[in-house]
Amino acid sequence: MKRIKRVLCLLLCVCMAAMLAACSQGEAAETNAEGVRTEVSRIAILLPGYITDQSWNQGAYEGLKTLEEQGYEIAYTEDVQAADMESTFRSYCSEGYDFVIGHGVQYGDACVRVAQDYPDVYFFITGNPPSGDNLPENIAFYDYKEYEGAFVCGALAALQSESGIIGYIGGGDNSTQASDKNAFIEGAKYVNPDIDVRTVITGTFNDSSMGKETALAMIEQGVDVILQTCDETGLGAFEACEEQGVYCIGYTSDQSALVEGDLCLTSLLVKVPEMITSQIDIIASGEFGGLENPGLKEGVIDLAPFSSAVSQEVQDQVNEIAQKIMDGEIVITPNYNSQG
Amino acid sequence: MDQIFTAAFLVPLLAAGVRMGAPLIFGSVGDVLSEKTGVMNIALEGEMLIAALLAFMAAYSSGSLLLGVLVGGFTGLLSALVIAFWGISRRQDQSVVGIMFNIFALGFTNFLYRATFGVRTERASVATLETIRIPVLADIPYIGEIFFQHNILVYLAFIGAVAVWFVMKYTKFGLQAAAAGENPKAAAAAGINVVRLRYIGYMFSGFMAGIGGAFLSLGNVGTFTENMSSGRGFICLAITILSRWNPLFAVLAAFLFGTVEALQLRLQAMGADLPYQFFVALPYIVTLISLVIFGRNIRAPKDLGNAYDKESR
Repeated sequence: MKRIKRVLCLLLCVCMAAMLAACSQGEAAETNAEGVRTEVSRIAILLPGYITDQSWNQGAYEGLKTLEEQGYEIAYTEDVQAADMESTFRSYCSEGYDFVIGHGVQYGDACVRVAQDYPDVYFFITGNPPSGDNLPENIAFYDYKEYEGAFVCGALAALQSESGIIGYIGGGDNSTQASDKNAFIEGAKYVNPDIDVRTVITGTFNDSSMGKETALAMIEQGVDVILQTCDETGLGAFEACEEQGVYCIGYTSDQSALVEGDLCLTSLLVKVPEMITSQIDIIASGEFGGLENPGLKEGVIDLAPFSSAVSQEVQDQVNEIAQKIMDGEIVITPNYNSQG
Repeated sequence: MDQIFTAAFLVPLLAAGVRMGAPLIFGSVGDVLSEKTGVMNIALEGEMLIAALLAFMAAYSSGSLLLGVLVGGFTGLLSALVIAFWGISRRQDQSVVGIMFNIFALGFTNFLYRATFGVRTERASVATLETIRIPVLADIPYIGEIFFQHNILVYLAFIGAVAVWFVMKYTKFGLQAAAAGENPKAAAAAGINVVRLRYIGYMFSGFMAGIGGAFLSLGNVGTFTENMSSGRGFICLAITILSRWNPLFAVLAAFLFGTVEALQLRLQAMGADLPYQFFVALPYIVTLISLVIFGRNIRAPKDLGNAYDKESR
């Protein structure tokens, strides 16, 4: 009896090995036949948070949905943290996805390591490339100038503030967040050199309760306009603004509907869905790869329509500043140091 | 420094400490009783999270916050019942079952929230629990603002802690519970139903964690956001140890943690010249240091974490 079991075991093992081999052969044949592809069909994305955050991750999800409607096969993994980045990239690649996106600058390093092993797969990182030369050619980086928008928001907040104290709530420590914070301060000082800017980094993107307490702490100190760039944590900050009747500025998508009345002055828009869908055309044109730096001028960064609380005079001033950035009259040097 | 030692800074700070400590009080006071009977509630985090969602859903669809809070409590209780079945009746490793439940809770709440509310641009929300000013007491200068101008759940947390302390110290049930956690065999020999006591302790802990979860979604933010418990359940476990299994000390420890958290946010906003990571870590550093200071000669219930098997020798 024992012997039969052993034989059976061995047989099963052989079967499984054969199946695995068959699988991998099939994939290999497919890619070899096509050569260099300018077309992708299966798209996967790695997200740092959840697709219901009304913000950064949801934007990516919406872009992905648009592509699904156009007939692409899509997949996504949420809340991919440092330890799982490389393995998630690898598993998507080995499952035959031909366009894999890391949604955030933090995915850069892992992506570079994986991309070398899968030269036929296209990779896209919504952020600036990691330092170092020899970046694989099948990765494109989109280092959009979000800080240009943050600069304009800073100016708006300073113009709108009555107390002369404004606040910024960030979620974490990466180059995008740090440059946002510093540009926000710079923009505020541009219109009012005496402005007092209070900043807090909460260290979390999905603790709404903490976000509320952060905003309350700021409001206590006299802050009367708050910009948040921290997704779900920021939703809690909105709750505090609503409760205390303080102005706030939304992030990534037009968030005015999330706050009662006209308290949400505008939103710092990052056109995430368009950023992702446009890559398909870029791949088709054969010009994929390298680093792009779109900003206000290219329309990737924008401001949502102003709420009725912003006077026409302030609107004009803010639009003028935005125009100056687009014309190159104001040049912002991004400051990636979170200590600012 | 001058700005810190003023009433205008300290009073709101301590009030925020009470607010931020309240969900921790619920979690840790329940866990104190549960651990006294010998079962560790590792699943606090998951129970809080599921309760936060179901409490919000109940309040959203019925329009009654009270119903929402109750649903939250009973969600926690039922979750605890499931875990207790595996951990107590089936005698599986309590930690493993609890951790599995935490992982399950994160996936389950994300799924259920999306299945119910979808992924959309406007967000479902309810009004948060009203602030209740306790007559007379709320008018005491400073103290009133710190302790007596909160929503009902904050008061319930304090009352609950005192009640648990009283039950543990002065009733027969409390003694029996302690016996079940110290030496279940001797307790059983004295005619105590150890399994029943452990079920009660664990389910009470689940109920309290559930109310704590409801506090997050209904008492504070007025909506559910994914993974909104954000590790509070684990902090509660640390508080249980720090409090030496005394519900009244648990209140103090939760208040300490909440206050340091509130303090770090304020210090950051005031523009202190230190990396933000230092501030974010500050509450945890303080907890660790207090564990080192107050944790000497600490003695956990002797049979904590062990499965009780009636038929073993």
